[in-house]
Amino acid sequence: MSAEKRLNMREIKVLLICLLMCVGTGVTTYYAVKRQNKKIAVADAVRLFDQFNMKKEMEASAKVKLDMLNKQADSVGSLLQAARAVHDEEAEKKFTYAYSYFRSSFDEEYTRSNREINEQVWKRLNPTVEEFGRKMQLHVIIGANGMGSVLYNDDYYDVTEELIKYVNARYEGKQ
Amino acid sequence: MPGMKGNNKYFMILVMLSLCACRKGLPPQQYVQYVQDAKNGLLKNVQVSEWEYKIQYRPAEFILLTEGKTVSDGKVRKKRNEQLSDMAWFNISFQHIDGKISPLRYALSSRGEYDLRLNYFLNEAARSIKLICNWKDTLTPTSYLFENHYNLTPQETMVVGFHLPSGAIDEMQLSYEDRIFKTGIIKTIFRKEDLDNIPKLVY
Repeated sequence: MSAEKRLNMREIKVLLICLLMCVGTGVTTYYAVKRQNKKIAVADAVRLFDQFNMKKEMEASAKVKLDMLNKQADSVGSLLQAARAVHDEEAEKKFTYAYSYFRSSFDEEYTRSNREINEQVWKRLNPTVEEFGRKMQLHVIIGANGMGSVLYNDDYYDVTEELIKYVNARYEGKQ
Repeated sequence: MPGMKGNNKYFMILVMLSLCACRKGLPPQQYVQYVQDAKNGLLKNVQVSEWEYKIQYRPAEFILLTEGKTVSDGKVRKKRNEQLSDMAWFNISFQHIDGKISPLRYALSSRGEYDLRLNYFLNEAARSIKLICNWKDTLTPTSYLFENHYNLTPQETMVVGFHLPSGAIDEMQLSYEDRIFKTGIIKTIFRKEDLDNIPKLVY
């Protein structure tokens, strides 16, 4: 009777060991698969920004004003040169003031429009990139910007083209 | 005689096809609901950061109904319909997501800023709106009105009308650049199928 019991106990021990091994293998496989399924993508942030249609359109719109200011400054610059050539001191003084005024207006407008375009474009891009990540079931999208955050990536992880298409389609109201 | 039989068959198929192709008709109340239902593609909602924009396409019949002009008005209705035809009308409404205060008064730093905003929407915003028809004609508004709610509602509305070019309109893309709240350019497309599916108004 006791021999039978001991046998049973041994059988139970073997079974338990088998069970533990199965559970261990299962857990290891689960984590290995999970690690494999972790989807990471890289997108070129500079290309994304440059090829976003809204940025292009806003830049084109700002360029009109900037060109006008630049032409005004150039015209005054020509007048200033002419005044210098004829040694007209009074005109030179007047045009120097006017020239610096138009130049600083151009610089201010350039800085302001650049800042506004940057802010507005990223305000629009950030939620759309997030939406893209969710749609593609990505866990992380790393923004490569040439500043050393991503030193190398092959095409396998690069989603820049898809992302550009997606953000532009969303912007144009096509999706 | 066998030829006649064949003709009848084709005639029946033609009748059935034309019945299928017919736009459905809706009574006034349901017509208004149809146009205002975002599912039907005539109302577009766009959210950019903390601002919500609603762009409503308004067919002529819809405008007549919302103005309270019914079939009983007869001549008045006909005249108004003539005024509205050949035009595409849109309402562009916007509000802050918290919906508590008029956008004109939101996060103001001075009275001057309020005046600047009001002036923009009264006089300048029309220049920031355009409509692209069939992906070839870029139209600027021929009619523009800012519905001034005098800060009584959390939503403000711009009413814009574009004179449409001759020929069929397949698709329209409305774009608006908000230069006050700096939300960039907002674009929405009104698709051919949604425009074709607008029901007829039946009384």
